[in-house]
Amino acid sequence: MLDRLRRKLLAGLVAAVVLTGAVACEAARNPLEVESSSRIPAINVETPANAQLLVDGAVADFECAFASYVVEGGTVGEEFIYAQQTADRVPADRRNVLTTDPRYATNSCEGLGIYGPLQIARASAENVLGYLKGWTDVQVSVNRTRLIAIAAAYAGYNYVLLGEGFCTLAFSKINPDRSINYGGEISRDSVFRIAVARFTEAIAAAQATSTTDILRMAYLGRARAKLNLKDYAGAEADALQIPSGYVKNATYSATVGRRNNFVWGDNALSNRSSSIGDPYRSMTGDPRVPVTATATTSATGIKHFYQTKYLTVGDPIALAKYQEAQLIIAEAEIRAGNLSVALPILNAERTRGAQGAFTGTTQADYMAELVDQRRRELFLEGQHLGDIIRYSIVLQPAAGTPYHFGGTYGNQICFLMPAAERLNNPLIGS
Amino acid sequence: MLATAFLLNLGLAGSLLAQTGTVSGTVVGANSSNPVPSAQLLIVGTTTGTTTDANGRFRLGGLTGETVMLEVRRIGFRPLRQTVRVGATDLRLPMTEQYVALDEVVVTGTPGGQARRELGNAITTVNAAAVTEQGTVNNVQQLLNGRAPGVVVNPATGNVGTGARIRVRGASSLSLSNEPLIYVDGVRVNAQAASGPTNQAFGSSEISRINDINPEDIESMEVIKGPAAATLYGTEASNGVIQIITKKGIQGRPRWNFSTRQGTNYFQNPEGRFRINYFPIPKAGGPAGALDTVSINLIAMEDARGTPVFQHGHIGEADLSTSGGSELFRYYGGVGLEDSKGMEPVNGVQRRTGRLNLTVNPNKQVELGFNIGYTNGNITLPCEAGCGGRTLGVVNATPLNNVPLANGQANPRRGWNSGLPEFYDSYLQFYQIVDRFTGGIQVSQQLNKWFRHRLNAGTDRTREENSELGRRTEDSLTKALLGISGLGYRDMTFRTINNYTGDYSASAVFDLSSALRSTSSFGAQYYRNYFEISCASGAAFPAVGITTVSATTQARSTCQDVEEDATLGLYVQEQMGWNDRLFATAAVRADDNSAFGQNFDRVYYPKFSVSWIPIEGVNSRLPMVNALKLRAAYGESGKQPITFSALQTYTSATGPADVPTVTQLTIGNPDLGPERSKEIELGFDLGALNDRFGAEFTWYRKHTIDAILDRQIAPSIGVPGSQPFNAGSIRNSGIELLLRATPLSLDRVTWDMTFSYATNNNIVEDLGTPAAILELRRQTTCPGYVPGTSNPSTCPVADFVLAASGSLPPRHQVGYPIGSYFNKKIVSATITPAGVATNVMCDDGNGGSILCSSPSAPFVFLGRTTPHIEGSFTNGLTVLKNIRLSALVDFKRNFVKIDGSQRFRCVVNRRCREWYYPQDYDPNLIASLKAGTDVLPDGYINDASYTKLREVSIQYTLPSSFNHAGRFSRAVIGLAGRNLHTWTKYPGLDPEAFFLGGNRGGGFALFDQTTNPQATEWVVNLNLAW
Repeated sequence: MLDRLRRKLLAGLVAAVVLTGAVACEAARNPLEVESSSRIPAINVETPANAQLLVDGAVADFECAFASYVVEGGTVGEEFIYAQQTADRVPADRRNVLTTDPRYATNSCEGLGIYGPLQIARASAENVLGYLKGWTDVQVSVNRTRLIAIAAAYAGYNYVLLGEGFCTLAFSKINPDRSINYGGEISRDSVFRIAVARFTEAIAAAQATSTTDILRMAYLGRARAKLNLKDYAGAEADALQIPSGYVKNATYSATVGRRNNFVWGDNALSNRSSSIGDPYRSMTGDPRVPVTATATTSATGIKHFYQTKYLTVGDPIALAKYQEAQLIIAEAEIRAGNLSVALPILNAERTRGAQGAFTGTTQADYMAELVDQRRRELFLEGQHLGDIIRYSIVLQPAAGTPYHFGGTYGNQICFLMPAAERLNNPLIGS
Repeated sequence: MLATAFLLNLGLAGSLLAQTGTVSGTVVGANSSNPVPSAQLLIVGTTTGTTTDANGRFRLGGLTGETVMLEVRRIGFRPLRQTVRVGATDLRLPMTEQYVALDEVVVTGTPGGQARRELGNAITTVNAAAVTEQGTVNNVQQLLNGRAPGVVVNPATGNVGTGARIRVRGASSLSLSNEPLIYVDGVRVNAQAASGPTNQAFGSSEISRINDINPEDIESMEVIKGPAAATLYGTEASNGVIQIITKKGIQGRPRWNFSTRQGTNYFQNPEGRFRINYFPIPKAGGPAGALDTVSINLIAMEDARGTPVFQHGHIGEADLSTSGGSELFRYYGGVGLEDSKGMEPVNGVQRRTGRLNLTVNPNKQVELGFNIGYTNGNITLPCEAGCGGRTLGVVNATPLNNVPLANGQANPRRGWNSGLPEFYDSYLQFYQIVDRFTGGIQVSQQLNKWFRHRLNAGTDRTREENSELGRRTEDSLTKALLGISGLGYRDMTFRTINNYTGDYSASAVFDLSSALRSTSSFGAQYYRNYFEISCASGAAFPAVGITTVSATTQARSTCQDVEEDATLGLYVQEQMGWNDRLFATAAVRADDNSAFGQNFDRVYYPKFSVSWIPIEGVNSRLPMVNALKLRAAYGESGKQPITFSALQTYTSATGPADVPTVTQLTIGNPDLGPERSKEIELGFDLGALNDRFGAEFTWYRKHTIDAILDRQIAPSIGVPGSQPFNAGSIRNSGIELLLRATPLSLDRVTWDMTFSYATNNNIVEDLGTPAAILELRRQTTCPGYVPGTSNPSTCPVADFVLAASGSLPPRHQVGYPIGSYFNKKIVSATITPAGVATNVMCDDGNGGSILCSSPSAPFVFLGRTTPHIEGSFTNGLTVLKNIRLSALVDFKRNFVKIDGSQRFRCVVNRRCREWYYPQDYDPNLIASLKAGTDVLPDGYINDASYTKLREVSIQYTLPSSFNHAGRFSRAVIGLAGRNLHTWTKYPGLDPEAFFLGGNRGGGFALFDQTTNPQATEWVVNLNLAW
């Protein structure tokens, strides 16, 4: 009996050893090969066959970064007041962001980062633009020149937003051999000049392929960049290319978090991270600034006002539109002293806002009205932070005012180059 | 005739009965009184013998004469000879534990393990079975705490079902895990320190996977502390290795064991530990705008209201096991049930465990082992961190929310910070469900006299469901008080972690002469780890009661990801032994790993060790000493990069119009290789005074090179995240001392004590940063530094990298301990009559001071986050042979922790007395608190050194009369307490509590924000064996 049992056990042992050996042999075919199902090596992606994919990726990177910029730019500006208790969102609202603050510097776009996401979007556009220029029409199955127009236009807008939001900047790149070319610290004006160059490339490519949508986007983008460069005549000339009714949206959806409209996510009836800033609470009756008051007060004592410009997580945000072009034209005319040319544009804007006719008389009155109309027309579209700098708008609440979550308001109106850049870019400061 | 014959037979039988007899009894440890299984008993001068069963019981029959001389032997104990009366049935044979057990076999990676006498390094063994019987521990980490010098166990929160951070001989990796490798019966298992739902990104992730293992199923734990000992474990072993050896069947008839722990855990003295909050409220009867600064004692208020903030949670555990078998086949089977509640009503753990271990010896040469363990658990957690919860509510209590309403009614907020705790309890639900299977097969064969080999294969498979649920509520008061929309949300994460182990090793033993023995070993190991995560989240349920993600209507998102890594390693080892007294060992291991960069080939780790036993047994020159072993070892091991970190990669993304597209994910590094740790250790083991005194001393020095740094890349490159690279260098050194003594050993009273003490000196020697970047960092962090000069001594804080994200991360800085806190340090300040801090001066890093507001004011060292000193002191007293009292005090010294609760209540919410009566306090403290959030935090980064009365127990072994009545072979009843008193200067709730996971936790940070302190616990425990 015992021997029979022992024989069975020995047979089991042999079977176990054989089985283990078989498993080991199977593993030994290539024992260190592992699955990489969610990551794609760069060398497998950056090919002509993926040109459209890479361009779409650059646009996706931009749209995510843009939504984040609208929120955080609006927080530094006057459009939003941060209402909750997450400490690292406070400095932007209080306008005293430290260069070591990771929120604006290195957070992802979903984490409401600005510098990192815009740099990623810029690099994505520049990366594919560089490849597209090096590839041939034969290699790229879709219209290569049209893709160049798209990539260049979005690259241009990345530069515009970075230039408007930051005090100084740097741009680096990865070469095809994976080495890195670092860029030194440059001024905002230099950034806008790069933007102008990219938009010019986009215009040429869009004209060559009759890609009207991108052509107008690039014209208006270049006008915006030139406005920042104080090239008012040049800006007006580009703005005049924009027909009535034109709008270029950054698109969003409920599909994934990265595609969400973060503005709605931060402030809506049910989303109370931020409330609406004081200057916008009193613009009742202006359909361009749809703000509603509630009786709810946050833990930090902020009464909840919410916007209804974006009603869902998938609502688009205007990146470039006819009214912006008109206001650029008006500004150029006001600065040139042609107030009568600007007046119908301002009155058209006031009509959109259910306001009466403009009654100002001096150039200063006109400029003040222009700034106010821009504030209203471009509410929560990522324009006001740049306007604060460009027009030296007196901030509300003023610097030195006690901040509701501790400390006092600062006077910071452009984001400083993050420490993450200064400490890791060998060309900066040297 | 028949009758005569019958009577004769009766007489003969009677005569025979008179001439033969039996003895039976129990072999126990002399100090602990715990039963000693598998002890060998022999009647001196005969071949009659037996072994004790799982309960230490034995029975010897067929004995003649009135008395016999019994000899009892077991490895780890001094041999015992005792004359016993034939016929005695209730013998108690106490064996004295050997403090230097040279023949004890420990697991080392070679087949069959090695005897301690052969080892050149220290391996600590924790006798788990003895500890669990005391009833003082709830999980494996508590089992380890204070029982292995050099092993630091930092418990994170006092919630039941939660875990701890483990460090063995300090931290040596800058960016990778510093947790030790864990093996269960030779199978590498998932040992993630922080898992579970994370609240608010920085919340706890409080659950440690090692605690899935039921302590009742563990026989012993062996701690292999560093590369000098862990070389054969190769890549991944540089943080040390913990071998968990589960209980196995012991030959004999079936033996059953039932144990249960029933008791309570609670927040000790909350009213005395929470600081009183202050806040200005409208002055009653005063003019408009007039304010009164008043205080609030929420704990007392809620007590008076009959709704105490914290509860006494029930601790309930029950375990049933059986073991037995024959020479051919032995078994151990056990099931366990844990159903406990914590100090908050929503905190609980329900855990069911099962284990089946089979050992088969088809012949004397072959042994098969089958080990299977299963755990099913459900842990629910309160919402600590910032999203609510009771501790948060009390820490931030405000008198403003207790001011009666305008209509004269009581304020419905009752002084709580935001929502009422009962609202949070019903609105939020955080939980983790885990299913885990660990199984392995071991086949070992003594092929012939000189060759032995072993095959070990197994898998550990974990399935986690982590859920964070905010229910929809229509109750306007709940919504108003919680400050929420009330629409609800759900975030689910599902994780699969599979580890596979394949391990073959063989040894050949040759006697080269009568004195010289050669042992040659070789082996191959293959480890494969598979990790899969999927998640689903969404917000806004359409109606109350609906809680699934699929029913959400907004912000839905999903994720899924898979990671794999594999290691293939080979080793050869040669050991030469001379007269069983001197052993020299040399080995080398080669590893390749899937995570190495494409430009990096395999890695080799060498090892050398020497063990010399000058004294064993009686010694004429040192008669007091009965054993002395001197040892020295050098070895290397490594730590692999994170999976895929060497590759520049893209990942999928959703594009415009929701088209599929890609986005950059990582920048990679094709040159990336493993971290490499080199360690030398020297020491001795001493047994003296007939094993009434024992000492183990070890000095070690571990040097980690090619440490993988996660270098923040310049964001302008346009790739997210950071880049790993091999560059850094870290040195750990220290001593470990373990003293054991039996000062009193009388027939009715035995007193034993154990003292352990370990130090860890840790320093970051190099961060390998390119010179250009180092130069830049000097400029930005070192005031007065002249660019281009090369004298780093003028800039002692020249270089750093961030160790974690989130608020106030610790840093790795050259010249300082790894993961330390640095910030501006206030040295003087003046408080004006208006309570404003002025002339706030900070340490300038050079012995002087500088205005703190100056951009040049440097961050200076504030303290390390891993204790410099740790140890424990255990006393045991055995009275009247059946009453055992024991107490364990442990201590950790010289480390700092962020008192995030003070930061939150005082700096953020201004609810501390210091804010309103600044003249009563140290001006430096006021300057820190009033500087703003995290501007000058050294006022709330505090020394967290402590000494804790960790465990107290009393056990009573019931008399044999009770056992006979109940048919038990052994019955023990006891009372055990845990976390009974803390001696500390730390001003917060608990020097131990901190975020284990999240972005304020991780590898180094010690950040406590409204985290529940360690709970005080009292349990009654009962152990029955039959």
